[in-house]
Amino acid sequence: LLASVALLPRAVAGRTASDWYEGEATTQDALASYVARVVLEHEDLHFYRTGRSRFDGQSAIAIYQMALLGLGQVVLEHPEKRDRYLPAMRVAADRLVNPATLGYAASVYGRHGVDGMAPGAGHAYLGYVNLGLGMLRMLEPGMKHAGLHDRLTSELSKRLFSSPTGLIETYPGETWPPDVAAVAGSIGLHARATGRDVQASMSPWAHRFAQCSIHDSGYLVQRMRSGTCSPKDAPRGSGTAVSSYFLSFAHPGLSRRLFDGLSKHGHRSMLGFGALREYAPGFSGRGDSNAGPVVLGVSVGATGFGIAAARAHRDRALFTRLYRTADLFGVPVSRASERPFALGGVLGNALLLAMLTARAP
Amino acid sequence: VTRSARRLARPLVIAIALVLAHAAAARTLAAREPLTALLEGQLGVGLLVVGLLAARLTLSFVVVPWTLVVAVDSALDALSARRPGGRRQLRNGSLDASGGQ
Repeated sequence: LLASVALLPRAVAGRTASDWYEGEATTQDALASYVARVVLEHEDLHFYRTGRSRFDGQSAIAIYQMALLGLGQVVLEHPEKRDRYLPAMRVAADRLVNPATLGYAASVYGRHGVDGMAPGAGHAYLGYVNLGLGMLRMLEPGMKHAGLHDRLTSELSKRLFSSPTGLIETYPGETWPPDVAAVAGSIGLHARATGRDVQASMSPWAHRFAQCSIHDSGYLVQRMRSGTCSPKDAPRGSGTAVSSYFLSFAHPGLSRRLFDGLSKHGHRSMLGFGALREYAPGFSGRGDSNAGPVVLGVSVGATGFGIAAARAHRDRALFTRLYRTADLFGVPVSRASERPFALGGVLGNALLLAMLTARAP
Repeated sequence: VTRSARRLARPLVIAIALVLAHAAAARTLAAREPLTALLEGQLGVGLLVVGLLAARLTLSFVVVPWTLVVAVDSALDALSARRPGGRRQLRNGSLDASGGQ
């Protein structure tokens, strides 16, 4: 009985892990077609109406950005899918750049960064917008938002590369290193899409960023006091994992360093099911909207984002263990040709598509 | 054979019932937006999520392994029962471990 408990559940939950890791087209299609359909059919800008404009806006931005990244990664791996997924990607990009999607940014800055950025204002939330645009531009160099993509990248590059700490603010008084990693990733993806070389600026920035924000454990500090290298939150697994993914577009070495921190200090495994610690060793705390629930020290966010870091850095064993956990608790369910995760909702499924199809740097 | 089938019936019925309940709950939740429902405080969806996960964990770690073990054991019993001095007699202590064949 013990042998069957030890072997059966891991075999059942991990039956498609290898397909995901190898980038098997039918497996990717089953989730990608769900995400593309939801984006195309959804008429409103927002998906959640909680009455909190920050949450409603940021969740919509995350859905559109992750849909763009996930669908784009599928097309990069299977170019024959281009025509199938480009329409949904264009719709997602249109909504991503609509200032009304994240009205919260305009409410705290006076105007949304898409409409213009005052000197000194960070607007690091634009890293998410710019990453999505970068993925569309990889597939469609002449996209209609190319001019905006160039302008956002130029403005963000100026701020990022001139920052003594390597950090810029997301909103006034708020500095979140994972958002800064998204900004850096978006600059790297823009360079790839346009054939430019930004390594001369990116390498010194990566050094400053790492010195200021990466804890000895290899985990990234979740939040800093603006303008300083003084932590305002603990080193956190969810931010570390998603930053490792974002930085895979810009600085493979820094992305790898964060992944190594997670796999050495954050990995927990039982009966073949893996998960990642939310707080670095020596720290503790609760879950939040970034990490999701924290149970027995591991979080949904760190584990989910860790899937992308593991695939990007070609760690099949860790990818498989994390995937089994996502399968067990996400509950994939087949509906016609689609196979979304029943408990994921739109946000969870868009995130998982991007994570499960992350590409090597 | 009848005794073996009877032994297998209980875990099999439980497994089938759980699989059906699990599939129904998963399809219901997949057709909704669980996060929206939870944010809006819809208690029924919250209970459905908890029930689905409980059924899934019970199936994965208890019922399916138990069913498999009983199935294998029953199959071995059934095979042994066809041969004099087989597994069943050994269990009943009527023969020693060297067998009587």
